Amino acid sequence: MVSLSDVKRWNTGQLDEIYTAIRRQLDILVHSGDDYGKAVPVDGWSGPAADTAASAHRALMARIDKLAAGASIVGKAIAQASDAITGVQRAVTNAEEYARRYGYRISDTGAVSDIFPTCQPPPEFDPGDRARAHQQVVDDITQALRTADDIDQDLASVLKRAEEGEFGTGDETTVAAAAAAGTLDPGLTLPEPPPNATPSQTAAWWASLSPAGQAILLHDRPAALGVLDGLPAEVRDKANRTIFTQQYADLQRQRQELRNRMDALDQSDPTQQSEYFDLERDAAAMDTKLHGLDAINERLTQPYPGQPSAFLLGIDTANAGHAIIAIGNPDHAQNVATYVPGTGSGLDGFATDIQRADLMNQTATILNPVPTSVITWAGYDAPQSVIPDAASTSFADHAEPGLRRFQDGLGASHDPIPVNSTVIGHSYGTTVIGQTARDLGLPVDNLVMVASPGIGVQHATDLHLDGVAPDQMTHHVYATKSAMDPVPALTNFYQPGLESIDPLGPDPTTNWFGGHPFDSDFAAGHTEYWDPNSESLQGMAKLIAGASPP
Amino acid sequence: MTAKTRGYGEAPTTLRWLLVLVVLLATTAGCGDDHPMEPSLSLAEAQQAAANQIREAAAGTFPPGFTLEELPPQPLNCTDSSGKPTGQVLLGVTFWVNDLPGTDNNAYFGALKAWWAGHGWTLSTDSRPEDMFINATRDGYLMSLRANVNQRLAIGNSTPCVWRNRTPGTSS
Repeated sequence: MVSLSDVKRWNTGQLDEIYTAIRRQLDILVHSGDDYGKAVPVDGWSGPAADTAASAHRALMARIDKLAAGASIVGKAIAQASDAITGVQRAVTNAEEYARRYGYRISDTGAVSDIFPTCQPPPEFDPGDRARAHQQVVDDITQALRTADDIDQDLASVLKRAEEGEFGTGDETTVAAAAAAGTLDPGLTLPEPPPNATPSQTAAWWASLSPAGQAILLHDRPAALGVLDGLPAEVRDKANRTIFTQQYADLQRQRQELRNRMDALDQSDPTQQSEYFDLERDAAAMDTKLHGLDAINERLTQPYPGQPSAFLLGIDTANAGHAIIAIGNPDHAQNVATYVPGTGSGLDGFATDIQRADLMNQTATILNPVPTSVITWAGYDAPQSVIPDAASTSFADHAEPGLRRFQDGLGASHDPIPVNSTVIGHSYGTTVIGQTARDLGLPVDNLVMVASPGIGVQHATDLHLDGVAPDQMTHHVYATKSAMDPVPALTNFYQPGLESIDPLGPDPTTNWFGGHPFDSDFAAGHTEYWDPNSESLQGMAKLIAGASPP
Repeated sequence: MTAKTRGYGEAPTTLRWLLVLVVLLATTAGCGDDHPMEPSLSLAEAQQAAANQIREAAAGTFPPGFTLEELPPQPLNCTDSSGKPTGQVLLGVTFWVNDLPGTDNNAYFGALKAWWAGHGWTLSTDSRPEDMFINATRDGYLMSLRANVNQRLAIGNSTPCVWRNRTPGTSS
């Protein structure tokens, strides 16, 4: 097992020198070997001696071929190791800096200890931030050593196999061909993330790879990377844009196939009408998804002048579709908000959700002009109908692990600076975030419930935010609704005595819920809370911006 | 961890959600527009009108010498009560107010409020002193003034829901 002190001592300069020497000697071997290969047979020489010489020549050429193949792959593996080590050493350096920033020390064995073991850390250290930093440093060092061990074992394996002559056949037509055959072996392989990795472990895994290794994975495995919580937003964005292009083309192809089948049917034939209308309905659903994807693509590639860049953190066209898009890079933002839309969300209505995120981002940035990111998280199967879907809590039940994991991922990939984080739900989205905070907790500062039918608890203190004491929860839950909005009005009893029989619990704007209600414009309906210049948008933006609560 | 209570009380919940459905169906009209299929201003015309209203209001509120710095416009699809896009769109336009003398923002809020009162605008919100934010409506436009954490002022206005090109047929 490689130790932390081993990793720090590893000298890529020496490996580079070895690689250069191997390449130089290999060039000589190829050049001289191929010259030697032409020495036999000798024209006009035959008989037993000639046969013996030819046999010896073949044996020697086979050894030269094996040697060339082995030298070739060893050179390649050493170059790979030299590159991979830079990723590990950078990860260790960053982890040490991260540890120092939050009052921790990393020993030569990789153990992470508190530099304030007997006294409280200074008040400027937020306990929640310190706890997250400790976990991330532990994961970073663990993964750096894991990747280092992987490099060491892979290189040792290549050297051993080369020593045993496992590369090349020994029967190549030229020594140059033998050398080329050696490089067909992959050499060192990139380590996989740990099985069932947490977002923090995923972030550590990615950080331990060299830029070249990261580029290889981005090219070869975008689908795997696009869904990994904990990867940097820029990486997920690149991976998901590749997936987006593939899925868009797939949908177009499927739609064309449906149209071809429709064209082959006789719509006036009663025996074919049922099939025709089924195909027509499916084609219309495809059109809806493609329009949603067009809206996403437009925001990604054609922002208005001055609008922040958008990052595609997730895309899936199955069923109603999932999409996660960030307005502004969440990894570098001081204020990060996640907006969870409600009933009907999916690719169909995603254009509107992106616009709402843009409005929240712009308004929050006006109020507090610091780097800000607002993410639309339509990463769950939302109810697609008011009745019967939205009356069921099962959609929220299934969304809980994904939302918790996504929030953990945002923390794991974030720059090591304090962040004010907010999760905002609309309508059924409030049920999703309420149930998640109830069952799994959320690693954020504030929850905002907009036009809620109820969030699955009876009181704000039934919710859990990491690092927030239960009796302090009431200071972290905010809620708003319009007096004219029928959804909260008709899905809540507004009678303290009856709330206990409501599976979704009371409207979180009621004064017996224990949160902080804030005003919305009187005449707003169920979908108008994001209207520019509205009181509700101002309230949400204040919370996102970390300004004084509304 | 709180135990889930799924199933308990489902019947009254379903009844209430049925009521929601009925109400939503009965109120399916975009952005408060009772005649959503009628021609409207184009979005560009509405944007120009919103910007002009801001300039008029600013001229009547702030002392000479101020300047306006435009931020990116923000469109928003208009939706019916169930959240489905109607095909209409509204637009928010916002300007920083620069080059103001002094820091008595409260006086500027009062001046704009007075200007609104004299020009047919109806005050909707005045959150001062807790939050330096006011807004008012007129003919479907919604104007606001807000101060940020650095006491910088931003004045915004949003259009009513309109067809991008005046009529439904050319808007989608």
